[in-house]
Amino acid sequence: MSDRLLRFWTEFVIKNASATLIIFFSITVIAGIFAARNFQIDSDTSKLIVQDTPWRKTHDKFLEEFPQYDKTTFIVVSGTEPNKLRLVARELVEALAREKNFKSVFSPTSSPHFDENILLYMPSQNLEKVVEKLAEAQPFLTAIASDNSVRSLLTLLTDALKVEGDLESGLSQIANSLELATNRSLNPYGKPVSWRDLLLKPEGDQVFYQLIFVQGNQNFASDLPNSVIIDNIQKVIANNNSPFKNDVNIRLTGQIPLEHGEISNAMASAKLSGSIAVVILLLVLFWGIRSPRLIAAIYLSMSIGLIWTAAFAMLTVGEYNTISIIFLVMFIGLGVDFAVHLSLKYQEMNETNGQKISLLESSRAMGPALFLCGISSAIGFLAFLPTPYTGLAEMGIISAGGMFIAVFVTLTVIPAFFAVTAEPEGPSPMIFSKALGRLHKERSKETSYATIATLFILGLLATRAEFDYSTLSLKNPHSEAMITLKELHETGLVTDYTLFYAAENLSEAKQLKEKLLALDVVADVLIPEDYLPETQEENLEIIEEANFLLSSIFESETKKDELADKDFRILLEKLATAASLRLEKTPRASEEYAYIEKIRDVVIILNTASPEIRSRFSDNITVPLKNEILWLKTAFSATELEFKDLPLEQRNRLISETKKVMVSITPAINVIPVESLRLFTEDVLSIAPNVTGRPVLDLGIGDIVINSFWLAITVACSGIFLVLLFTLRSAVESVLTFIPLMMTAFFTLSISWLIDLPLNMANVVVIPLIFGLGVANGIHIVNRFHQTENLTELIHSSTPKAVFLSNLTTLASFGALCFSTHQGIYSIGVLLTVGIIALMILTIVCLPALLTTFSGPRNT
Amino acid sequence: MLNSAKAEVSSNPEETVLEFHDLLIEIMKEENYLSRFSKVNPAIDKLFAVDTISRISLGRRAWKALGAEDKDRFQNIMQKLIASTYGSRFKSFNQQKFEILDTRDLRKGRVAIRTQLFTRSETVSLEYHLQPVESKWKIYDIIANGVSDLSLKRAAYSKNYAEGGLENVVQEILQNIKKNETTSD
Repeated sequence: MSDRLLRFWTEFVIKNASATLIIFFSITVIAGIFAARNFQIDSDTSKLIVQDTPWRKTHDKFLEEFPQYDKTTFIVVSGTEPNKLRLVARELVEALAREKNFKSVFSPTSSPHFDENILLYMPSQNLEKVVEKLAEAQPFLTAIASDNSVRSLLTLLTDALKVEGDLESGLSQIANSLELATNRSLNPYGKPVSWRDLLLKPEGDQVFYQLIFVQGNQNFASDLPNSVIIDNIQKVIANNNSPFKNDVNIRLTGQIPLEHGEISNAMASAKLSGSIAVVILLLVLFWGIRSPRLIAAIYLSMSIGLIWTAAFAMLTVGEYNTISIIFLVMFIGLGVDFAVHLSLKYQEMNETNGQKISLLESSRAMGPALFLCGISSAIGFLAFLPTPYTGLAEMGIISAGGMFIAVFVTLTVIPAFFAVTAEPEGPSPMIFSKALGRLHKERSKETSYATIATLFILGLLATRAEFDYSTLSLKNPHSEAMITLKELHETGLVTDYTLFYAAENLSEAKQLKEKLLALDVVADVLIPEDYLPETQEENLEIIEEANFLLSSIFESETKKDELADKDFRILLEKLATAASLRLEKTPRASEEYAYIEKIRDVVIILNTASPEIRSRFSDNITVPLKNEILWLKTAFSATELEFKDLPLEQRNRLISETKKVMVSITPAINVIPVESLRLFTEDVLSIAPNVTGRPVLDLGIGDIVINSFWLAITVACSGIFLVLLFTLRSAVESVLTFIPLMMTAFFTLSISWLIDLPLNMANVVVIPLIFGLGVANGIHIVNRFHQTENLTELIHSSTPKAVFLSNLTTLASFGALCFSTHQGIYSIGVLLTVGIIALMILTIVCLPALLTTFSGPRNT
Repeated sequence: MLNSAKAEVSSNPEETVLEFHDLLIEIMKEENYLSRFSKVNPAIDKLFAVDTISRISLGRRAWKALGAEDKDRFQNIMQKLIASTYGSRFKSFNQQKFEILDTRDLRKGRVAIRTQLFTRSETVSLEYHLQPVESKWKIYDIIANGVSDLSLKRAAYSKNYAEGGLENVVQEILQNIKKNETTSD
């Protein structure tokens, strides 16, 4: 029946070729407009996998209690000068708060509370160093604190230089300060001095961090849902004009930038790979087919199919997701296959028959095979439909539709095209058909048995393949967000694998903490009181002692008399003289010489400048330093902190509105290997069954993906096997056709293990796909096997060449995916490339041998 | 405004400063370093809070690491340093005069007394910081022309300690004592 239908349709098309082409063209235009107008994408990656599970519900409940932890962007301000960081961060926080677009902005270390109590939060050794530095700077700071003008400072310096014996160590710092203040007075538009860094920054190149946590609103109707948030943040950063902006590094990381990076990476990859695929495809076709008319027919058929599929996608699923949009790239290589097979068959037939007969007969010969291929590929794609992995299921629907569309379009457009154009050039032989022919003639039995042996070996190797549970491994490891996150992990500022629990009250939290700390896998458990400064008591003692030293700075009385310019100049002259005299007694090469000279030079500049500049100089030193001294006085009056003293924003992150108490649990073991992750998570779950966090989610999602994978493979294999049985009507041949597929699957898994490219959320689609796509090859070979009289004829027919070429075109589009920096898409590209190459070789080399050995040729 | 600590102590802080000034005038009239030193040394413990000075100038971490014996030893050396410093600095009497200006309260029950020293060539401002110790007021810091002695010590000793531990600090102090002994006669 189908034979008659096919014949009827082909005849109809050939007779009305021009009309057919015009109609198809119009439909394509309409479809194209429809697809473009209705283009929609839902980029909410949390919807890709249905998580109707208890652990998902626990997670959602937790976020209801503590919404501050969801979908956050970290703005990381880093650098070697802590005070500049603080100033820039504070400006950013204020600007972000002014924008209406953000749900919350939280920066614990740039809050006034932290500023006033910073001496309590510092590690004790650092605090001791601060006290030492202040002791050294005491004369300088007292001179500023005790006077409204620079008189005391200049007098101090003059006296210091006159003293017999060694100079005090604090002088070099004063010399630097004078120089900076003078430069600023001469150039008021230059950078202001960061006095706090000058006074207190520890030596060395240690990097400091200020973190700002921002939450915004996502827009899932856009293909980049987080771009609004990211763009707004970037705008605020760009508009910031702190004078210290260039001295600090401002970077973004956290869940939102990572997802944003991933999605934009995926989109860009799709476009890039699509373009590359089209080009490679053209090259492949030119190399393999050489007939421009054939190539034109093939391209036309492919393009029409692509646009119709895009329209079909909008009609059925209604929207793309981040995975299904990749299919559009894959279609380029897949849709072409049908056209390649049909065209080559036509080309071959045209050698010995007239045009009409060639067209009819090639359709008759190839039609059923094409249908079968379409069905089996569709099954391969639809394999994920019964699984919770809806992202892949939706892609499956679109792809399956695409396959049928491609078959229909091919069987219509190719005959119509050649009915109106001139005949194509003759076929060229496949490059290694001679060698292949000899192999099959002489050694087909050996090849068969070698094939079966290899099958078992590969099967064993394949069991070593691993699945990577981490959702972070899909991201581009060289993106700013990933690099910054890694840095934060290494400094211990942020840990990604923390487990969270919302306890009913403080006493439950305390009890839980005790029980959890007894576990080997747990490093630390933090409850609200642990967020108070760790070494508070010790620091308070250090501060107490420091007050003995520093009361001359904080509690001095201030002389209020003004310094007239005339007197100012007298003081400057006295200082200059003292400096010059001192220089005569100082060895030239010494450090002292350098800074005494600096003092003298600065003083001379000031003395010869205008009174306005001298006045500015005075202000540039006294005003900011007095502010710093005020801050020091507050900081050194810090008293013991209790939980209620923490800022409200911070407390709300630890105790929710409904009074639930946050408990966070960090692992003591390296949880990157999934067994350790599972051990940590399960041990903690045994004590606190409702913990949540990335470990639970990664494990849960990973398990769902793996189960989906097995289900999909089962569906794909059984579905395809049934189809084969039904059409080939031979169990033996169905099994034989299956063998290259299984070998390819095993081979791909072995390679995955060998090159350390584990399976992940994205590339689990590869194995079912290989079955779906690969079986087409087998069907063509078996089909041709029955149509020919012997193996040599088979090898030299158009079929192996078509198989070879169609696989090459598929390779073109999958290979293009290897250019992506999105690790998921990249791994799909690599594994499919490996798979297709293996498939090609196995189908052309092994399958004919197997068929000859185990099943005799039949004439249809 | 009197603070409660002051009311408990039997004397008042100005008395300590006056006593110290009288002592300085006396030793200035002595002939040589040795006689100056022997006069001033026994009074140091009465007038200065040597334990506080030792503890704070050495720094908390270093002080806590010392055993009781070493703490005593360090305090003895500190006392000697203080005595030798004044013994060598105030070496001749030329009608110098001390004048107490005012007293003000500091935090935690301590006081600051501003004074001036008039010599033939200059006026030096000396601010004394005192703390109550049992029944007396004792000096723990003198700020001469804006430079705090206690801060100087702390800055110097933390560097020495970082470079070579307690022994290094002790060596530094002994060297200073030696310098005082030899440069003043």
